[in-house]
Amino acid sequence: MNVQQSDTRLQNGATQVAPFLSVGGLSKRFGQSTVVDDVAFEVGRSEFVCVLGPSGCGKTTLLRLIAGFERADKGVIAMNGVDVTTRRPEERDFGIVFQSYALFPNRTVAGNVGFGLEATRASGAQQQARVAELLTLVGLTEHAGKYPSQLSGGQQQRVALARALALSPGLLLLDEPLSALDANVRARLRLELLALQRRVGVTALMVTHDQQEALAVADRIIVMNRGRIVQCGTPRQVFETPADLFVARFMGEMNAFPITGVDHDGVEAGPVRLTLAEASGSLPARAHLCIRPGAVLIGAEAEAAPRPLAARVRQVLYLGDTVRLTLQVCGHEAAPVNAEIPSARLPLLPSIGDAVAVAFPAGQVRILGDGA
Amino acid sequence: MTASKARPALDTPYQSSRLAGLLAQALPLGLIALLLAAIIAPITALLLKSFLDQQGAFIGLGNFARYIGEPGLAVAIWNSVSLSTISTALTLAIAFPYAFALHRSDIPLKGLFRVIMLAPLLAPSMLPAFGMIYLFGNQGLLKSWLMGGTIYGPIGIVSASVFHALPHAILILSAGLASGDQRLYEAARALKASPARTFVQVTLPSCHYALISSTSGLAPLWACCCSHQH
Repeated sequence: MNVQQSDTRLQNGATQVAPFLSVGGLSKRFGQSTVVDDVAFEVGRSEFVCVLGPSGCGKTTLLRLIAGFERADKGVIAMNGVDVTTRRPEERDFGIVFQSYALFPNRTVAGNVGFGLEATRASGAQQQARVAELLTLVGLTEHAGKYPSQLSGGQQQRVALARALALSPGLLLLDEPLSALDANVRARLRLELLALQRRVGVTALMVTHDQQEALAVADRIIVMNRGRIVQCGTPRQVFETPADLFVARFMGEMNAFPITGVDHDGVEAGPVRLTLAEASGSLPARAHLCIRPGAVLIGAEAEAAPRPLAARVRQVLYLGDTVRLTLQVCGHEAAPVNAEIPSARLPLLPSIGDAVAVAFPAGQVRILGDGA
Repeated sequence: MTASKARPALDTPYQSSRLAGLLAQALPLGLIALLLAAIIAPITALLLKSFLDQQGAFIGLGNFARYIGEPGLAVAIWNSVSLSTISTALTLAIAFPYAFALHRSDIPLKGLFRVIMLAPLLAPSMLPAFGMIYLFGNQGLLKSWLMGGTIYGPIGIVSASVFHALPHAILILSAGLASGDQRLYEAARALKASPARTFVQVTLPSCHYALISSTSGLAPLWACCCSHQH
């Protein structure tokens, strides 16, 4: 599902073009709690960056600081090379889309899209042409005369997008723009949003708690937890080489076993073992051996791999494309292992209690600290 | 073996829910009865009296014809309409900026201003009446402020009405202003709208129901207050 863009400039997770937005040492406190804590990052021109994190991690406050709706306690925000830290929102170069759409209920679709244009020096005809162009862009030309309450959620969000782009801002801020929509609309609008951003070439910063969404649209993902940036990288980097167990678990399911023994043979954690040659590098604090359910091998594939283990099936969940198995490795019953196998590779669905071989390919096992 | 034990456990909630159902049906009926006794019945009695003369004989619409024929009626209606219009306009002119300042500005001491606004609601209604007479009556401390006018007339009616209605109007308008979506204001700012434009395009539309309801709620109140005066 991940239609990853093969953008060469982003291979190392850092931008090489001049950044449009740069944020340094940004902090914001509300009373006793530090909501945004010493955050620094850059967003390249025409780049699509997602700020991803659980609710309460400070990502929305970060967006509001960049918009100017909140005043930073510390730090610098620069747009297009200009320090805007102390500027008011109307003096900053951005358009914004909210989760709640926030369309003006007393104005038509065209009236909403044209709202920002009315205060400019553009003539009436120029404004109308621009509104028509934007409505074509989001495919809402035939709804121009309707009021927001007459539109579906997806249509309202397209209006909000067109309105945010009307003044051709340098930066498009998106605050959980798709979260209020149902799953099908969300998946479709996600692709439309990406296509639109690519066509217009606007720099985009989107806040979301949906890792699927971030993986699908972002050039780069910034993962936040408790007000701090935990990791910053391409979707592949963040998913496949997470900085710690928090990031790993936030991006998807992860089997994690606390390391119980380190000796001259290697590292052991529950049912998983790595030889010293395989476990390169130093161990972080409270280290775990981790493997994604999708990387666990079972059956004939496991028997062909080095160090297969005997296990029993404890739970079988048929999920359509994949089958989720919960396994107990013999001798490690207290540490169940989840495995996710493509249904196409399982002609026979295992039953609870079946004996199966299981293997953890060394190249797929990660050593991660718990990030606490 | 469990059937005999299970029965009481099943019966109790069933019975109590039936009792609750009966109560729920009885309650509105009781309220309707109260309404009939306290409001509809006296009004109906008054209405029936209007068709009778002083001896209690039925005279049809005679009383109404006499009332409409009275020479003072046109003046009374004009007084009611003009005074309630002036009072409504004055109240809104004060209440809207007050509510706006409470909800959409950064003024200090908002809590204090809110309490001051609500205080007249908590005091007995005689209190402000006496207060006005002490301040502006014939022996009033600030009588000179009226520049020769008297509060025993239109000035008094209007100022008392405005004073009486102000907290109500501010409360209704506050509800309208507070329920407005904060994101709309932020969207307007992001679209470089000036404060004046935001006020006209976002604030006024978002509380137009409150404006209409406070206006329509106040006008009849005063129409009936003022018609007592002549």
